[in-house]
Amino acid sequence: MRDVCVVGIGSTKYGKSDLSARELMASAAQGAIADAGIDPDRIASGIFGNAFGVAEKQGHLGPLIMTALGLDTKPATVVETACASGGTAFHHGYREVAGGFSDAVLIGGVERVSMLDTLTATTYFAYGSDFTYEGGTGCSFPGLYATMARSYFQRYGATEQDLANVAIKNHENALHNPLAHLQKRITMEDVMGSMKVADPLKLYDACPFSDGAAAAILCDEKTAREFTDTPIFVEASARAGSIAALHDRPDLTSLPGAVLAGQTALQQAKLTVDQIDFFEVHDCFTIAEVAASEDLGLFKKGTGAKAATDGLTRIGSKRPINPSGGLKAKGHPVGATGAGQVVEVVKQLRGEAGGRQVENARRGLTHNVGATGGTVVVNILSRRS
Amino acid sequence: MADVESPRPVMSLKEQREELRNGNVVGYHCKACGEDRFSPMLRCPKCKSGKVERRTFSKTGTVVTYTVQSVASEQFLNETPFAFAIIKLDDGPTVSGWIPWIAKPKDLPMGQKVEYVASYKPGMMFEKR
Repeated sequence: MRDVCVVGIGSTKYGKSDLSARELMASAAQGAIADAGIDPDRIASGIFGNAFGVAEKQGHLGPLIMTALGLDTKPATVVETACASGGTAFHHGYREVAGGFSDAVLIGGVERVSMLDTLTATTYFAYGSDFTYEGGTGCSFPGLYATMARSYFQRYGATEQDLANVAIKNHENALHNPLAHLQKRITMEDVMGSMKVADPLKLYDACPFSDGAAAAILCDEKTAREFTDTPIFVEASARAGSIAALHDRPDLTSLPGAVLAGQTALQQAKLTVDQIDFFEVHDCFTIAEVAASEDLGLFKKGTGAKAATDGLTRIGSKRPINPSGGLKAKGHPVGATGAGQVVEVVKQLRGEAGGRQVENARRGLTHNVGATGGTVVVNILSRRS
Repeated sequence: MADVESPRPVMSLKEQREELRNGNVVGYHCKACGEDRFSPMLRCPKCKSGKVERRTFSKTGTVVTYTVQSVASEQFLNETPFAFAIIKLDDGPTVSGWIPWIAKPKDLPMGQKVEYVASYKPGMMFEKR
């Protein structure tokens, strides 16, 4: 196995776009190529996450992206693991370079859903569940996380206000992220007064439907050093799964795949969670950030919600979570999200995160969840100097 | 390997839907460890045995957790508000179901006893007992 480095990153603004998925992805990719300063012809292949490509009546997206980049003879693969598609693309790019098959790989993720009406988008998102039993029994995507929230409240005595504090903090962070979808300060009253989507979750507990794309160029260390003296190293890239349907799980307050992927990543990197300076986690709903903070071992089981209320997850605290604004405020272009988390971690480690910079950030972790944890990808990146 | 057809599941999803329509709650049972499941199982996720059979479960159960759906996807557009619930069958596994006419959490205490009722809608519909 070779050490793998990130040498270039690119991202579109998240939000509503008039560009198609191929244009969004090619745009982010071109940003990453320019950032790396690499001759694009040295890229061996492309791996892209995309969950709802058929929403644009277009399959086989990979060659369209490569052709737009003038890389028409280079092979491309689109991977789908619901909301973890971008993280999965990164993981497979990592393996391709670590295994010595390629010296430079373009990874990324893209989604375009804003042209769908709310009803259609709600239906598409439910396809990420075990649809025979969950979506097909009337459960929306927020509904799945809402059943988890109610279980969590019952077991640990946490409140809707605790969850609201997660949303308020992430919106605060996104104020300093010019690429974020929602740049707007929100209050406790805003969250508590927002429409119930799936009780106990409200509109402001949920991430928005976003368009967007993110990309990164991965190289082996030797190739990376041609472009930079300070490459960002991938210390770990781990994946794990969970039973898809919630009804077959013994505990609804935790995602088994997240616990497993987190532990595997820390073992790979030979690090403890205390040695990680910040965390970009998959907060598709506020309860998901709380579960992530416990599954990854940042806080003891049952104390994550209280930790959010006590401000222990803000930038400047011991466990900064989602300095980018997270899915909640930075936005959630489904297939792009996992790649976008990597982009944020690299920015932070380079010290280029502006008003949301985590001071002296040396190591960052990404946690990307497909649906309710059927797929989970955890990566750890560092600037070894 | 010779031209041997791969084994089919002991019950198809289509057969399960037909049974549900007739009012029978049927799923999968592991003969080795006794694990019951409602989702397709060719190998037991608990004890890893391949000795799986089809079994009829009870229609009554208890609400483990739920949400009140105010916004729903296409097939359930005209049913809102209703509850999507995770229900432990009295004699059988935990299943996903929906309960009509639930507008607020007060309408459905945790631990509510419910019973499966065959319905024209997809998925399993339960009513309060």
